[in-house]
Amino acid sequence: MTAIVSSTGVSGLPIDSLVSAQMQVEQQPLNDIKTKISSYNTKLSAYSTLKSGLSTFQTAVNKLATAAKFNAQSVTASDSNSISATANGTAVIGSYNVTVSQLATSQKLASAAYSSATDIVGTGKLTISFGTFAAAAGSNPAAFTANGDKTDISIDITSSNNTLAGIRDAINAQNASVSASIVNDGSGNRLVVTSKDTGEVNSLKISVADDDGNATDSAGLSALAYDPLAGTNNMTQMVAAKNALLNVDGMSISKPSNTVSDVIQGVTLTLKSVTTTSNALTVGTDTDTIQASVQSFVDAYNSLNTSMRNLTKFVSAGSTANGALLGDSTARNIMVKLKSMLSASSPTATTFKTLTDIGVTMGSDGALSLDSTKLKTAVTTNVSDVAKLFSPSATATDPQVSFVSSKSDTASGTYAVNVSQLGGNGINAIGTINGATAITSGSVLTGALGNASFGLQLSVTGTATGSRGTVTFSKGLAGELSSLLDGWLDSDGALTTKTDGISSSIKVLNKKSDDINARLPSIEARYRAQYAKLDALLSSMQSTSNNLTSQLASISNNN
Amino acid sequence: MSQALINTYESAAKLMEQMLIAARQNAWEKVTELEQSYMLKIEVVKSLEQSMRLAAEPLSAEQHARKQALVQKILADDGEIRNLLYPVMHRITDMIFDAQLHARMPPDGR
Repeated sequence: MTAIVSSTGVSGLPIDSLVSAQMQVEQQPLNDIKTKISSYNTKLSAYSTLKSGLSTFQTAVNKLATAAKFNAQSVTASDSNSISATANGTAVIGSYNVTVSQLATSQKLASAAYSSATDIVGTGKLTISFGTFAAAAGSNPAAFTANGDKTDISIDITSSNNTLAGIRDAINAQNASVSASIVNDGSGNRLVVTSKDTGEVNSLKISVADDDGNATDSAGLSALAYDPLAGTNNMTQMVAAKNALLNVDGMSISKPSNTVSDVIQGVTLTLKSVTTTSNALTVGTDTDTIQASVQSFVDAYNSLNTSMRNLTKFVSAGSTANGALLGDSTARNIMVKLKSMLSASSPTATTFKTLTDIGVTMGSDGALSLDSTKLKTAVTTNVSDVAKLFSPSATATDPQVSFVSSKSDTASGTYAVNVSQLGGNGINAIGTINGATAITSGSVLTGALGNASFGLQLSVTGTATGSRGTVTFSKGLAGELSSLLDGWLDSDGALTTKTDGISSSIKVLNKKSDDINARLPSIEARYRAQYAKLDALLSSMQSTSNNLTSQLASISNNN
Repeated sequence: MSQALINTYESAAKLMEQMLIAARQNAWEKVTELEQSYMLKIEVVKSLEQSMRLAAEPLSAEQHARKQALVQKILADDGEIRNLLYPVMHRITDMIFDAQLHARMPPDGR
């Protein structure tokens, strides 16, 4: 076998074998590289399948990371035409009698009639205030108390916007909680001003600084003045601002809105009409929703399990049917960690502490199955345990320390709570959670950034200062799994590190093959060189035989 | 001089015979190599023939017959070699065309 060509140049090329075995030898390293690259690519795509399986699972798990999915409650109303209601999981299971005697309304004022929307009203300044008008009672004079949540709006009316339509647009341009429209009621065009929010506390007072010098008469801009206290009622009240009046289990309640969420704990009522009979609201555990939540968890895990089993499956030694990640330590590690997470026991649950306890078990193939009878028992016996298994929860040794909320990166653990000053009445508490100075707002302490308890919100009441015992916080299975998945899927996580490594190996191999290709003359060039040599042989033979033929011709001449 | 001419024809024919054997074995390197020597022999033949013409030294009838036989043998072998060579060159032309096609195809795995 002749040595590689490059040293001697094309001229040293052997022409004895056309599909030259020598060329195949030179191609061998290239073929080896191709084979390697292709196996790396197989691995890469297996990893990306794994990644997408994990992130699909994470999406499913994140949807289940709220307690509401597991302590779902349903509310039924005997007269759903007048009241509809929802419960957020913190309501007390039971029945409530609710009657509605008045719905909350928004105040609506109308101006005098103008013949056209382009009629000039006047110029000056309009000031619209929101608040409560109280009639005189005993020694208390009548009064207007401003609504602390709403600032006055002031609008300058000049020659550019002094028509009825101009003023309407100027009011609407404020995007405040008041709207204006022009209504033609047959007698003419009236500017109608409506408070956007219902309730007495959102009554309107319209004061005018009129450029014509008289701010109370019905001429000029003061035609829009409305102040029952001052007696300037130049606009007419079409609808009064009213509170919703309801009665819950015998207790009379007045609320500014028809959406009432602070009367029955955990229940939001939507009042739709005045009731004629007592309306029975029944709050119950929404077993179907909880069952569906657990089932969706099981399904999400099972599809991940199927995908992982495929990626790591063993058929036979060296078989191409083996999974691309068979024997891969990263994939194995992921499976092991997930499985052990699924068998963890909740530190806050009391009776149903594990998945097995609520009827979720793992088969020999790693798939989960749900025994719905067992789950139903758990839900009816202790629904909060079911929620604690999956979603964030905390238990405190001190009954006056309670869990408010947590963040997705609050770590599970048991944390000491210490208070040197209690909060409340405008004072912020001072204290520590897990040894780190907590951020405080009133009586609520929040775990500090950089501490394992970060984002853990606790309400500390009572009077005792100093140690307030410990709080055991559990992220729940959904939260734990999500954090675990984050660690693998993050841009600096294990999987990315792995795929980055493979990608750079592929880059190196591609570079290598480019280098080899650059050193090798192209196949075509080799064929051309072979052809040239044979062509030279042919023409040399041709000219020699021509010589010979002329010799033959001279033979006859010689005799 | 005449005997030298015949001897040269003899060795040229011998070389041509070896070239044919090599060509049949597809050993074109060897054919090329032998052809160099053969060409030189024919050059020698040419100059001997010329010297003999100038010296008016004819070949004997026997030598003449031998020379004719040798030249015919050489030309016959030569023709056979070329018949073997044409299809080979044709195949290379085809392969050049294929290689050009290949070069225009995107390489895989990139």
